[in-house]
Amino acid sequence: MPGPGRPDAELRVTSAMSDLARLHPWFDRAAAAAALPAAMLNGMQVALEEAVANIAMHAYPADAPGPIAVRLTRLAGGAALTVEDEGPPFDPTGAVPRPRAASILDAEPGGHGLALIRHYCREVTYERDGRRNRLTMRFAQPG
Amino acid sequence: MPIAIEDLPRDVTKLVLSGRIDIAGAQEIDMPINVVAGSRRAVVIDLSGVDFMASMGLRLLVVCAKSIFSKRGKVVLLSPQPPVEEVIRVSGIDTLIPIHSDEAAAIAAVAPAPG
Repeated sequence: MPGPGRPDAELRVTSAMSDLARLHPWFDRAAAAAALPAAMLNGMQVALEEAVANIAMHAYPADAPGPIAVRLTRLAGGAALTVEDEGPPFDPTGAVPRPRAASILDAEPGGHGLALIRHYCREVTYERDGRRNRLTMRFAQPG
Repeated sequence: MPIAIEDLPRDVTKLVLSGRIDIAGAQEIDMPINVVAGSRRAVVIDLSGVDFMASMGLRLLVVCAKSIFSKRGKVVLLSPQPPVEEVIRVSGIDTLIPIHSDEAAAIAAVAPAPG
């Protein structure tokens, strides 16, 4: 599937946790500049944090942070967030959802992410482009 | 600091979180929340002042709860705002850490039995 077109805003960070702290302030500015409706913001930020946290924890070794690129594109009737990394090929849309833990002691921190992304997105697509993983999350504008 | 710790009767600790627990917010409260989780056995986490939480905040809650449960302690969540409650329920965390909307009930749920 083709990407959502020319982005309205782009952020390039590394997967280092100190660098990822820039994610939400960037989203706030980009969403305001794109005049996204307030009702879309919470779900988009939850899905974005989930996608980026997954990359930070699984795509790169903790001691060797790698690049993450995030793009926001305003679409007719909604918006798209694209997240790219250069880790090993990984299609989160094909991952089997982990069964819910029976008790807190069996629970893994994280691991509920795909359910969150699917809940807030209208559509999630994955593609491998050369050495990049690209996840595109499309969000519908309410009303 | 978006975290306050209140000692209540019956050895119950109330952890009051506030503001945005996004990636930066979760980093800020990681250390103090782990100190509480490592040292207390009856904890109410008051989320009423939290206006955003996502994966890093959820992760923090699970790590905190695992630490308390491993000591046979109890932990509950109190009064999350609707967007935060939605994130907690969609991720299934509410099946592991119960949500209460009434403070007295939350305290009763974690307080050790008298005697």
